[in-house]
Amino acid sequence: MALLECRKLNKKIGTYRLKDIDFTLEAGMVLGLIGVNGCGKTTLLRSVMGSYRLDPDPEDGGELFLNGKHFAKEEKAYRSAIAYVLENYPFSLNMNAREIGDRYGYYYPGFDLKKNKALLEKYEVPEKMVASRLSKGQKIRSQLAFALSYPAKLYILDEPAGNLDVEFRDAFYQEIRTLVADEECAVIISSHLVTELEQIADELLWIGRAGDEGTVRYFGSVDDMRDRYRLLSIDSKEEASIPDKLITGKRIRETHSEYLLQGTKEDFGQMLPVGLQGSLRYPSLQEIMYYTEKGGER
Amino acid sequence: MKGYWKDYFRQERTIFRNAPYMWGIRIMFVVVLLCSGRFQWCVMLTSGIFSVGFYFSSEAEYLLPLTEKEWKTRRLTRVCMIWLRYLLLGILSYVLWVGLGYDESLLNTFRVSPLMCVAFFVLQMLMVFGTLLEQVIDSERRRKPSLVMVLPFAAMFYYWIHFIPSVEDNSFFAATWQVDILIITAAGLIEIVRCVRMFKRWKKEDYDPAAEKVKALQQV
Repeated sequence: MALLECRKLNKKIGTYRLKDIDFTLEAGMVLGLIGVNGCGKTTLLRSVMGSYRLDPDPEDGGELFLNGKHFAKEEKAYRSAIAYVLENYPFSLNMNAREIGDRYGYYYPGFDLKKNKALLEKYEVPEKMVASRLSKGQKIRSQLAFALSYPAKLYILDEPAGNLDVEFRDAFYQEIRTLVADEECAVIISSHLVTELEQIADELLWIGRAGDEGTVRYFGSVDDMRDRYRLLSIDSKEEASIPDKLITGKRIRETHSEYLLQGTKEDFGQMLPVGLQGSLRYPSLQEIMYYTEKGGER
Repeated sequence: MKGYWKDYFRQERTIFRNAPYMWGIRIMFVVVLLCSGRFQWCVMLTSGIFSVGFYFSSEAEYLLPLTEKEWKTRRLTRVCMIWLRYLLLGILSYVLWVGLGYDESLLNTFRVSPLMCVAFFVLQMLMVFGTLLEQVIDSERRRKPSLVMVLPFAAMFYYWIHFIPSVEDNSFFAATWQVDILIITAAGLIEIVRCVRMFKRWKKEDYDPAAEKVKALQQV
């Protein structure tokens, strides 16, 4: 059984709707959550964590299971297994880090106040300074110290790395690798730093935005996703030789044009002229997202 | 229920340990309330708007591993404890002001019509409870006030202004004191019904940072 199962999650916020989001997450895996701004990544994470309910609107619905616990029927057990580090600081800005550990740690089984204090010291967060006076990076660090102070099964990280300095970012990713190394828990990390996400994530969940709806554009391993795409850099005059159905997006530059092609290995082998096949390369995740979401100049 | 009181006092100890200045603010508030005399209803209602929402407006509150019943009871416990404090301080304030002779007109009013004073105080405490309860229920806090909700406030305000009975028939605002009591009772009943309806409608809602008025206070 997967550690986290999300079945047909539907959530409406304002006029925007997440529709039929389905994915699973095994223990020991890191799931990267990607998508353009406003596609519903934070909405999805909040629904998984429990900030958003799945019943206020008639169109809302879905089921979530964490470690076999149902999100509504076994609410307490479900939530106590989740730890989070969020871009929007979730604690009161009038409390200091020590008070947060003291006040909220009580509700999480196995919360270790001494460990919390030690982590705050390790991450150089002044524990007696009110949160409103902490920098964005310090707020992320204090949340991380809280999250690592109790034995959660699922760690949800919403845009955590953007405000961290380069040195701590490296240590942060190392913490994530350590978390999943024992295969007891899993991590969902949402980030716009797609290049870094590519290094750490085992699987990807790509939420695509179409009008007022967000749906799953892709769910699977990072390698499988890269395998679907190729980037071709050629002279614009040679565009005619590329089958239209392969082209997902293009970008025209001064000296050449770049084309993102989508298909299987067989498609590339059979449909492209032999002369062009040697010019194919695997695109980065960033390039895939750019061409697919923007469409290039298509 | 015992666990909730234990948790409440644990939270208070946490505040005292980590943010002792909050207790300083509370002591100042106690002094203000004790000195407020007949203005206490203004002080209570104004502070009631901010005193509970302050604790419950962060996203972490919505993420706590509690069942919905436990989550509601936690909030209700705090409301009851704050209301009890206001009740004790309110009585003490009147005793001080009247007992020490700082407010002779209030003392005269109490001698002429003690029932009216008690009725006014009961209405005041019902209003305070309603305000506190409203602040911990997300849907009520975000709801626009209706005319019916304003009526008890209007009644309380008018009686506070006219809190000196007429010499002829001991009435305050209406034709006779009996009608005054009826008006205050009606206002009290409206407030009780409002509180009961709020409680019955109470459901845990989505966390909505945009709707949290006290978020602005958090920036201070």
